[in-house]
Amino acid sequence: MIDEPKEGSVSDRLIFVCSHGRDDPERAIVTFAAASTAAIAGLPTTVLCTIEGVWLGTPGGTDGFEKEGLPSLPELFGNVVENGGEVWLCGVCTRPRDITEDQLVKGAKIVGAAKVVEEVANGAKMLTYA
Amino acid sequence: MASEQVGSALGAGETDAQESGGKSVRYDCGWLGCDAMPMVVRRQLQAVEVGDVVEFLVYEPSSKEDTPSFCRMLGHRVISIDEQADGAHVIRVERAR
Repeated sequence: MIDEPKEGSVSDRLIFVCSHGRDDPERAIVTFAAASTAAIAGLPTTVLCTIEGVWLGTPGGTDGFEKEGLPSLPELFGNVVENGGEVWLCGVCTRPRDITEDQLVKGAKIVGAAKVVEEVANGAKMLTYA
Repeated sequence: MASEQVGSALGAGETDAQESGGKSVRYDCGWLGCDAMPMVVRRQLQAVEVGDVVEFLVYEPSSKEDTPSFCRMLGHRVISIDEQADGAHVIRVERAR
């Protein structure tokens, strides 16, 4: 059974790029805050985690991201996934960190460049909260 | 359509493609990642005739997601995606152009 996009299909997905984790928690939090909003609004939502951000898709990866004045990252992450959103982990970034498929939390999966490029080529919009 | 399975988890980058009646070819991608996968996939599909099928045996997690995407972008038809007991995916692609 193939549930992948058909050739020539149009993607209305929103892809939020998150390249930070514990190295810069605030940048991770604001990205997930935006993605959470999109997912709750019912929009097709993906957070594309790269570099240190890939740890967010592993067990305990969002632990400790509580900071006064900022939303809770574990809660935002849960909002994304529970509302149908996906968290994509860059395969180039997971490999050197020894993150494997069996270590991922619900809603996370490892993808490569072609998956992202196809979505964007089909119309997906990428947003970066730099 | 005839199909012949050859080999299993090869080392990354090894080629073990064999034709079976000119209709179906299996290529073991091993653990190739998204950096090397596109060129390998394109080369394999260019090596068969339009209408023939290449079965890509893929172990690398990102390539399981990427191979169908990349084949569609090349204009080919993804026929099926099946997971094996060992976790590898067999992605059957028909050369369409």
